[in-house]
Amino acid sequence: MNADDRAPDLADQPGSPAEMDALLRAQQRSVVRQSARAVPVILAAWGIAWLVGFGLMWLAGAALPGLALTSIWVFVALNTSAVAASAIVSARGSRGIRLSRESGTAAALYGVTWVVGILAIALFGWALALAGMTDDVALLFYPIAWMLFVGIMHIVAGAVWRVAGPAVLGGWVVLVSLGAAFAGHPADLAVLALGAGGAFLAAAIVAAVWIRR
Amino acid sequence: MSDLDAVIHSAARLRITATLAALDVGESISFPRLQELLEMTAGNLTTHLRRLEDANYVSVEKTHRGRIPATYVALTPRGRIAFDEYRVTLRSLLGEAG
Repeated sequence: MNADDRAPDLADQPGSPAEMDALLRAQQRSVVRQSARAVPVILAAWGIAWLVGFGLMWLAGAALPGLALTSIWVFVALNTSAVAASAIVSARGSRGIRLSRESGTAAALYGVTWVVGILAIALFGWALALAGMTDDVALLFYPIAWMLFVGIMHIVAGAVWRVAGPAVLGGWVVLVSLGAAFAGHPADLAVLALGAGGAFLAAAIVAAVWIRR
Repeated sequence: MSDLDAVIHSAARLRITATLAALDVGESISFPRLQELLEMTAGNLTTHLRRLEDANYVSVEKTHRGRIPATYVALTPRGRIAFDEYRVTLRSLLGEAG
């Protein structure tokens, strides 16, 4: 038996107001940090998916057309892996927490909105193709539409969970995506790789350093 | 210092209430997860939770997840108010000291 177990009150005398205030703040910081452990992993998974995925697609479009099909498969595989990593790591981070009805509904609706958005972009692209969208425009449409949606969903996440980080990152991704759209194809892919992928990797490093500090 | 709520005014119970106050209203946390966040032994945590429960600051719900028994802990509305008041009193004491 631990000494801590035998005499919890004796081992737990209250300190001065300053000591108790410091203890309170330290515990609040500890809870936030422990709850945020999943964040760097999720950010890094998406950062790698876009930096490598869009980077390879840009390389294929700009210099190595033989890589075109491979780069698309790599992009799909990396993005699928990022979805899986996000789901697994998030579930581990929030284990043991029983949400209120309101929080549970908000989280479920947010998750469903991702699926609705992905399907909507695919179907909208299909409709545009039927209406005469050329292959060149389609190459610009799909990555930009996907990343605009990603950015907006991060802004929504910031609003729903009342945290600034995702909203700032989401706003940045929207700006990068609009910049990429005006850069044209295949330069758009390089802009997305560096602007969005690079930003997520940088955010992952900042989050990891903050958690370990 | 006599103004500080004696139920919360212990290192362990202050850490417990601070952790539970981080949850949104209506949310609860499993006993093992709370133990992990606090790095406390099960016996020590149980002892202090009982004290908080006796003061109606904490609710402890024993339930089942499938066939596995599970215990969920949450701050009651009264506990949340007591924690907020404790923080305000603490800050005012520090203000007077400064």
